[in-house]
Amino acid sequence: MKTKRIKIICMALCSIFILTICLHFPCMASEEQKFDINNGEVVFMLDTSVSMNGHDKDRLAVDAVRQAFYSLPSNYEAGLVAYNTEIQAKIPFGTEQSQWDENLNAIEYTGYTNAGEALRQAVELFSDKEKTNRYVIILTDGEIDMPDAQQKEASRLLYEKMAREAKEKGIVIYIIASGSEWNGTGAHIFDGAGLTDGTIYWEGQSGSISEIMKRILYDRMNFPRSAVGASKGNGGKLSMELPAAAAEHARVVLTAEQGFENISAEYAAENGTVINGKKFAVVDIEKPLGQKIEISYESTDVSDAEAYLTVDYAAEIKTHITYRTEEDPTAQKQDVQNAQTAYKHIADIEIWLSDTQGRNDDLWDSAYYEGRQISFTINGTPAVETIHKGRILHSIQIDGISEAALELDVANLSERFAIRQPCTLTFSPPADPVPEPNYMPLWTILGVLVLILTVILIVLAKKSRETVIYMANPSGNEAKKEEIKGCTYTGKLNMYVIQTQTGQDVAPQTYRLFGRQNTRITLNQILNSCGIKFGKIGAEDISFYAGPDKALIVMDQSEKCTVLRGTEILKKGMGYPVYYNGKLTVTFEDGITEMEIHYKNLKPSEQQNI
Amino acid sequence: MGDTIRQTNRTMLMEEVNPEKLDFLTLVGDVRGMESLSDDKIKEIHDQLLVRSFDEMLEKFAPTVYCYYDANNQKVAYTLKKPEGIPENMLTEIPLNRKNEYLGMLMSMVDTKRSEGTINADFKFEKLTDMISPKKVMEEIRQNRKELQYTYAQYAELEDGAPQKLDLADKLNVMFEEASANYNNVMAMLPLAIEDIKTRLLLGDSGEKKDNSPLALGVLSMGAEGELRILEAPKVETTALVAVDDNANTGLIEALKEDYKTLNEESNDYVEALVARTFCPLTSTMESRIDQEKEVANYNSYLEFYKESKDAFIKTVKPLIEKLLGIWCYFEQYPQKIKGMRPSLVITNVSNDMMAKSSNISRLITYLNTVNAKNEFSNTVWYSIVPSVSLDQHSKMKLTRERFKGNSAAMKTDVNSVESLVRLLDVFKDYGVQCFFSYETGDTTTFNTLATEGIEKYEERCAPLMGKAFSEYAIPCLPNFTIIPKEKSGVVLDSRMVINENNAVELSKEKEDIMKLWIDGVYVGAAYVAAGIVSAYQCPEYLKDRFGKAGVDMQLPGVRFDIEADDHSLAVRTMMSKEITGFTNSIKADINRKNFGFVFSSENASYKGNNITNIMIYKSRNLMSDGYTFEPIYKTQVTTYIERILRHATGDFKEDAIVQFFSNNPRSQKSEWLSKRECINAVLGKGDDIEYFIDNENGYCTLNITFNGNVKNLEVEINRLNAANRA
Repeated sequence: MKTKRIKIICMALCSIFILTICLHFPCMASEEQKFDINNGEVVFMLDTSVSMNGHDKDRLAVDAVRQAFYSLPSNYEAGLVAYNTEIQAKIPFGTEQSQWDENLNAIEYTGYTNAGEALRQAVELFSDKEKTNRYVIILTDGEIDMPDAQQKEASRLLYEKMAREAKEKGIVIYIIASGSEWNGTGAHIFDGAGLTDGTIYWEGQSGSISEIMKRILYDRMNFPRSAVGASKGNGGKLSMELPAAAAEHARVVLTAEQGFENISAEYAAENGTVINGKKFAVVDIEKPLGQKIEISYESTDVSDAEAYLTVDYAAEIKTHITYRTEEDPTAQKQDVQNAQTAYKHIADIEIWLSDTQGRNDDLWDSAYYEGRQISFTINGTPAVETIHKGRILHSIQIDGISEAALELDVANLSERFAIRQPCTLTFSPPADPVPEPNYMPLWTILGVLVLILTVILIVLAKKSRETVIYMANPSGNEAKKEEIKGCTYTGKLNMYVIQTQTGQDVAPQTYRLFGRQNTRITLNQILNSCGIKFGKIGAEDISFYAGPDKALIVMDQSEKCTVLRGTEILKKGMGYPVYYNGKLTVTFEDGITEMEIHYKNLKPSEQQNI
Repeated sequence: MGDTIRQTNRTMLMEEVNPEKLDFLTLVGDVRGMESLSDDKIKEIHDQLLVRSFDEMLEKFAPTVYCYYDANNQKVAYTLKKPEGIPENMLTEIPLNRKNEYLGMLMSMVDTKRSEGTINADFKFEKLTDMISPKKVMEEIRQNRKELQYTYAQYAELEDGAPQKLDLADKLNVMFEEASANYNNVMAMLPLAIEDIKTRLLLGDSGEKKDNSPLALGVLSMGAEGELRILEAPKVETTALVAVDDNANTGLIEALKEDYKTLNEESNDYVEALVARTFCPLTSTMESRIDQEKEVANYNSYLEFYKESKDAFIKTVKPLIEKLLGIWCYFEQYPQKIKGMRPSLVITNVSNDMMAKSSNISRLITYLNTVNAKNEFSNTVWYSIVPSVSLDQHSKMKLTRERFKGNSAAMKTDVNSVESLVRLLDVFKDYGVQCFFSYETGDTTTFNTLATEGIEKYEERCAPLMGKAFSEYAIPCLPNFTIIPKEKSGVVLDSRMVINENNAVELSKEKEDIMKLWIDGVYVGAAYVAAGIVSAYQCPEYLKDRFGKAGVDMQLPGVRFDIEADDHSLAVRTMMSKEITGFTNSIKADINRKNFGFVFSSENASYKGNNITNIMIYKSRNLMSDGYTFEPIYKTQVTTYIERILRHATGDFKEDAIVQFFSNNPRSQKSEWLSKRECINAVLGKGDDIEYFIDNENGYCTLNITFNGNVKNLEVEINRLNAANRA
């Protein structure tokens, strides 16, 4: 006995551990599967004939209806027709939970089984809404039976008729056959399943009623949910996190054959309840404020416990579109004659979901959704993209399209997103870049011109270096014409003004020739750069040129100036070379102003300092 | 000394000594179109302007002060420039030579101070300033007249025609000539007259005489009853001099009177008698009767006039006197006894501002082009002196004409502007002339001021001259030397004379009656002494005198002699006496940290057991700085010296000859220099080296001269027209 208890405790602890680890990331365990995300309408037909007293002493059928009612997602409507000879209770869609519980509690097993009338009443409950799954789940323990054969036949015929009608309306009938007094599969009641492509579940063979109901809900109806755990033990603790904040509704359904005791749940929400049945428990949370839910429970005996989570989000599609243009090579080829570049316009669309009430800007922005693939259609064209950082990015060519309808298919997500679809995308691409004119020919022409100009300038520059000067002949003969080319200025000029008209003493000045452009320099330019202003007294007509062998060639072209190189008076218009340490004496046209110019060398270190 | 360069201390003084004498600009003349001056012209310039001693300078330049009298204000006026428009006969020229009592006094003062070795605070300046008082003048004359009287007596005794009499006559002529210098002009007569009156009126005014009764000369005799008594001698009523002694003096008196009358057309009896009294013994010229009131008035008038005259004279002559003293100090640094490379001075005799005028500076360039840019170095100028540079670092040259009235701030007129210094430095740098300059003299540039204020002031003043191409050639010298401090320059001439209640004449004891004049401080620019001492130690004989023969090479000049190194500054010191007790450690630390300038120090030190009483050299730096420290002046001179030797030895820098010059051949110039590196005056000393690098592309040879690990570059243009190239 003691050993058994220890064994149970160990198992319980193990199950708690496993649940805690596994349920932390509920989605990880689930495989990618498609859910049915359409709205649904379910009508439970509960056989309350007297025979049920024998087969369902524990009223497990009622409990199973209740289990199913609380397990349905919020986009499902549920109704009930409890019948025996007559209709004992009828609950239309939209009835409050409390009314449900009252009606169910009031059900008594008595009378015959008038399934025809019940099906008729049930079929009447369905709406005409489109894109809505419609189900009738019949819980019964036997064939159609009425006090007399005529009534029985009438009920059978009605049943058959209504079954065909249900088929026409797209209603699928699932039948849970409880009890063991069934003779094969030939019962008329089963025709409903056969006519509507439904299924018949046999209690015992297909599991308990609760298990059958679970299979119908999750396998047949296949609405979005995630299994958040399964354990075997007499108690446990579930810890889970909602995939995204700002859910509208979250519901955790626990089922166990032994039922649950002392269920407690920890969560933050605007409202929430815990509903306990004989073989199930539901934690119903409205507008959870946090993402974490912790549930702890106890069970009277060791039993398999399963837990499912259904989460609803009210979402709207958000998009952000950026545009780009790309050259369309194919179009360019076609339009080659116009020689204009054709562009294709591409919209890069970022798509994400946001809570309609603005509580969560990006519902997919979590590790849970990262990498999940989302199918969607744009203008009916299907596409699949992967969520990255909460968004999916899709590029489409929008030439000729100003709008597009975007419709997301989130059936592969185990959460239900109530999305107003389709979403209209409006494209307003920027104007095409103005195609640049083809300047190539112009550039070619300009390039040729520049080349020609450069050649001309080089030739001119060479010509300019080739200064032609009439140099004085030292032997006293006629002047000879000399071309001076490739010479550069060197050295410096030290200037001493000996006399001025005003008698003013002008400080000695130095004018650096080294490094200057090899052009003609007039004495006037030199004097001006030194800040000496004599006025027009002929300085502008005395010129200097760079000469060979570091010489400075001086030429006097003035009318009345007298220029001496040493003691030699320079002839007008003749070039005379002056070498380092040479001295020029200039008497200007006014006959008074006089200056000395000394041509000096610059040492390499002095040249470097310049 | 080597044969190539025989002197490395020719100095050019940029000052005017006597504007009446020929000056540099006049002598160089028009240089239009001229590259250089002829040898004859150089000889002519040097005949006129080159001096090798102070006396030669006095002889060549004959510094003179001109004196004339202004009848309107009854005053005497002095001028250094000969005034134009005043007739020669109205102008008195006063030569400033060793006989001039004022110049003599100042030179004596330097000599005395040097021999005493006392600092300014302890030196009795008044003992020497007394030398220009009338009493001292008279004392000199007394000595002269004694000789005159003796010689004349000998002359009178001899018979006419005796050969010895003729010899004595020649001697007397000379003595009369000297005497006539005194009675030739009234100014010279003044101290004589003053002393004469004093002698006659205060005859009884000895130290022992206590009563105030006048003196009455008498004869000691015995009375009828045998009592001893002094009878008053009978007086002869005449204004003429009475001759009561021998004939010889009578003859001398007559001779002096005649000489005076001959030399002075407008002679008068009073002066005639004064001359006679001055140069003849008193006993022979005793005046029998004196008009006391008149004589006292005359005495006071003479004394007043003498004082004003001296005052005006001293004020006028002071700038010139400072120049003369500067030149004297320059030559004084090189002892007379040493016969070697005696410093020589080319005195431009033209003001610095005039020399630096753009129109004149080409004359200086032409001169330097002749003496410094040839391979003949006997007349090469190595140094220059620019004294009295204005303390105003932005001072400009004087305008030709002041068009608009400018600031009327009192400015010294006899100072050289910084602008003119800059212009000169720009020329000097091209010819390798190192320029010693000192700031204007006065009590703000003395040792005392430097000791209290430090060198920062000088550094600030020199800022415009730093970082320039010519900075290497600019050597700021400091502080200036004090000959007489301002506060001790008072000279008491005498006191006024008064007649007391007893009708006796006496000198007034009142303070306001003491006639005193102020010389107002006399200084010598540091540049003179700096150039003098540097010129002196260029001479190997001088170095031998200081260090002994062992460590000196007699063939090499002292271009590499580093005065700052070792104990060199203790051995080679100026001839100037100490002025102050020394600089404080903080001032010295400041000087050492900045290594600025050519700084003299007046410090207590001993060398080889003897206390040093001279002023020494503490730093010798030019204004070229590497950002941290200023460069020693020897580096510049060694570089210039090597360049000149190289130019000479390599035929104007022929490439192959340069290679030979620096080769390891034991006979190469470099090897010869290296072999003498142990000498004090080695061109390449310990730790020095020289390397060369030929830049064929630019045609330059760069010499890397290493001084104690610091490299200095010298670039010379290679002469490529050598034999190999021509071939």
